[in-house]
Amino acid sequence: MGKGPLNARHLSSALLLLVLLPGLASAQTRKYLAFGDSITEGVGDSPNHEERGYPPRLENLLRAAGADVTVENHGKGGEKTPEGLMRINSVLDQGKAGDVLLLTEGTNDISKDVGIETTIFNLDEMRNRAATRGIDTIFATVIPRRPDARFDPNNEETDQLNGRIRNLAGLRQRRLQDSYEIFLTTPNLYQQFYDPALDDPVGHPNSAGYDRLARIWFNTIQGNDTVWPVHGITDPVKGERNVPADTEIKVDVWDFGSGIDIANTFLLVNGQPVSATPVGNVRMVTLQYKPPTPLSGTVSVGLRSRDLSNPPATVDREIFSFTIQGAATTLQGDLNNDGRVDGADLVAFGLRFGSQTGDANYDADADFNDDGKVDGSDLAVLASNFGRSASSTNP
Amino acid sequence: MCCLLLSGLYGGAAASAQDEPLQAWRNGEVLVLVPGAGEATLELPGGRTLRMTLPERAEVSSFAALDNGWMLAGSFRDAGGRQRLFLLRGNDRRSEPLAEPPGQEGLRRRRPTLLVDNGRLAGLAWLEGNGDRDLSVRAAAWQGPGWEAPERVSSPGPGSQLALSGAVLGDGSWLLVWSAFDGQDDEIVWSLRQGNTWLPVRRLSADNAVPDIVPAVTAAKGNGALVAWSRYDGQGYQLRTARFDRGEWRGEQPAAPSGSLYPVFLGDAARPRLLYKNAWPGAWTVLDLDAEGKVLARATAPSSSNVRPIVVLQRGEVRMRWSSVKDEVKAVWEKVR
Repeated sequence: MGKGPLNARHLSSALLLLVLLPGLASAQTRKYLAFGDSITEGVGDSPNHEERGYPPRLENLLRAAGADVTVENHGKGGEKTPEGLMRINSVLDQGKAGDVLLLTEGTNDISKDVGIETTIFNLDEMRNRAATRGIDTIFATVIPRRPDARFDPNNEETDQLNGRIRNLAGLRQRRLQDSYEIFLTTPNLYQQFYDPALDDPVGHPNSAGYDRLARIWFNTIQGNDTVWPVHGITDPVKGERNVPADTEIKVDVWDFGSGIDIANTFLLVNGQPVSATPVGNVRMVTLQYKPPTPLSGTVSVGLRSRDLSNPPATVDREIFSFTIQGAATTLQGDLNNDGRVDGADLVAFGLRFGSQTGDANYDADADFNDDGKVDGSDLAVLASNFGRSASSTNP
Repeated sequence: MCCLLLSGLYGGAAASAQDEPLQAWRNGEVLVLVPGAGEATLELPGGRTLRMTLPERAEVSSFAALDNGWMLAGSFRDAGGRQRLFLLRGNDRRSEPLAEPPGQEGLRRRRPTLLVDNGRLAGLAWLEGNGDRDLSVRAAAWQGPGWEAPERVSSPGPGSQLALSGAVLGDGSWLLVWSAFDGQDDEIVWSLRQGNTWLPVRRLSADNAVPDIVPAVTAAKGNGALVAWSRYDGQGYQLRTARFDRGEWRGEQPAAPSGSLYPVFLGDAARPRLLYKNAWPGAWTVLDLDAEGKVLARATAPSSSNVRPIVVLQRGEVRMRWSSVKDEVKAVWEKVR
């Protein structure tokens, strides 16, 4: 039998193998389930792209690196996390143990009657459902909003949400894709990487932005540590007003790569390092500072740190500012009252430029010299204060 | 709008987002407000429309019919970065702005809710603070030509206070409900203004460990009210209802399957209807309720739209349409036993 001609039994076995082989191959192919809202779906992407958004780009990057993967786009524009919780089971059912959920949702919850606490609860429930199926979750921060966004143009709620997403990812010991941090520190971000559509209520990437988003996902998945230590939950929070002058400042710092170089991690208050002893470990430390004298005006809080990679990825920048109770915000040009004159004020000013008393877009707050016109003279006033903050003018 | 709509007197709705239509009822006629970017279109009975300008990046959150016209309220961000309230009132031909209540203390005022008593503006409630997580609830009474000084209904809590909804009850008292983070999760809370005094803020339902979110309230027969909101049930958020009766909440019950969200009352106290979204698979459903809040019938139209539809009730039929879609979708009432 063994050496005889191919008989019917052999033939059927061979046919069975042929039928099963592709299935066996696909069973080994890791599937990435990209779940989220319009930014996963790919709104704002170039119509020339056959498949929109970051998932097809990520799949190409991973395959080019030799990975046997598929990346499925399960983005749904406009979705908030309470709806996402109902939809996610149908998506997870398309995966199997060993697959990965790429979870980016929550930006639509902001200012839409769903609180940050509920958003985090919902994201954690999604992670939990994936875990029960043996599917790992990589969380993602939500990208910054445009300075002319209808809601949260200063990214105050977005910053708080992202701090809590980092906290959730850290506490659940999951990986984090931090496009918020990378986008926020990208020069000319909105001009180069965002869709310029004027009626966009949030801010969506353009084709170059989705390329960049895919690259950030790729680095996260491949374990390429390209992100420095980042802040988590803070107290006070970004943009907070009427903060007591004797407030304590508390900042959680996370690192989702090689770890925090604790000895070289400092809290900066109004640009100067302060004596805040880091408490924690290389994954997360808390910096806590009680000012010896009362604070005043707008207070800038910065983070100077680096990670343990070689060479280290470093950060040295303001991460948020807050305003002390009773502080006057009289800095000319500070149209959004955040205590400093910057690009967001310039955008707000631009919307009023050329107007005069009686026009629908005239605003006396932008008419710095009170001559009834918002013109070049007012622009010169704004320009003279550009880059200054209330704290720097009144230390 | 040629259709009969709901019997009775007045009703209105509160929207949760820009570009979502709002509907109001006046003596059996319906008014539809469709906000857009920097403007809104009012659809009047008889098919007429009225266009009006809104502040840039405005969010309309409340719309109501009055004896002599209509009124809308919303919020917008001014050039100085402050989020302020705006109000417009009008009739079939024109609209005019109405001053916002004085004394803004916080950087942000959000989600104004018109309080209308028998066709007359009685007051306004809104959220105020410096950020989403330190909002308090405020209200002001309207006295003919102007607003009385704002009253503080609640102080900022340990977290978010959102999704404010309000109604004037049969005895003239004002009932407000909203969601508030209690340190563990969001709960639905309420307060009642009797005379000039607000009752202390209390939970509407027993304390639990899951989020309760997005409430909506409407006046019901007598001096009562109905409330609807969504609670996490282990799978998704499930719509629940309860009725306010003689100062207490009674009859709390699930009103729809899991995945039912963003309720809005349609119609009036005599015959309330409740519109909500089915999260997955996508659909919008109208519930026909009795005065106790019991579900008598439901009509569902499949739709993946995140935007609330305009609902027309005519000769036993439910039709839903979206401002961006020409075709209406018909839904059939199914009795609920």
